[in-house]
Amino acid sequence: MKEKADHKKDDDLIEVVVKSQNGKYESEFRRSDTVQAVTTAAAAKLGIDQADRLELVLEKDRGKVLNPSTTLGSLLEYEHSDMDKRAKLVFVLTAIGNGV
Amino acid sequence: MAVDPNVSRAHMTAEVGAAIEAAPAFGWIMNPDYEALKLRVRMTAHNGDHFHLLMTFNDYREIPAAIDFEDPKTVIVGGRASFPKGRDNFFNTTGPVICAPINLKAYKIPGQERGLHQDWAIGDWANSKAQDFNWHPYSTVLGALWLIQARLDRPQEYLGRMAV
Repeated sequence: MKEKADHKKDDDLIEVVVKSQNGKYESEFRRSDTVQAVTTAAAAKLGIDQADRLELVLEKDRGKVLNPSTTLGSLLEYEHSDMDKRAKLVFVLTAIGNGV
Repeated sequence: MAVDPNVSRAHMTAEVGAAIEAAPAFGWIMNPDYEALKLRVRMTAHNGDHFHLLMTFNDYREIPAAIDFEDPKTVIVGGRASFPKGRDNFFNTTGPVICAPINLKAYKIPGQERGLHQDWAIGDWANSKAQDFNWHPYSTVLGALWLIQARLDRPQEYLGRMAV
């Protein structure tokens, strides 16, 4: 039972990579965590001010800005995860600035 | 005051190296000419359109790099057909010019005939807060490419070429 419980716990975790112009952030999140949680954590680690209107996109679908309230679990359908490996999401942290 | 070209080249080399590492993820084809202080990058929009960016690093980083688009066939720089069209004035149709303080060509100063801004302090270009936006994270080669690519990636931001 313990083994089964541990397995379930592991399944809940998602390996997250966030690429930015300041470098790369890697961590683990739960399926129930939101895009906003990833943005906040990555920006803090990478030293990027969140006031700069940061937006997160999936590396495989960079044209679609993700809703901050979207859960990571719901994004896994975009990825073709290897069943033997932990689920993984690769994001790109972007901003478009203000047109001047 | 002119910057020793070797100093500009050292900045360029370090920054281009970082951009080359990121290039595969964005499909950038990087072609640096360190001797001439020029970098050419082929960038791709979400619909497959290609754009040929030209960055020139004279007196870098005392002043920003000159960022422009080039027609790879005619080698004409700054033609409207070589420029992306956006929702706002970042890709400014007046000029045309990439209208951002990280671009030398955006400044209305002698030698920059397409520059539009007399109101920006060029000496503070890397820390500019023009338009209530912090441009500092984008004041490197990788940062500039990142910002431009984000616009090319998004259907709501990239509206095709300025001219056919």
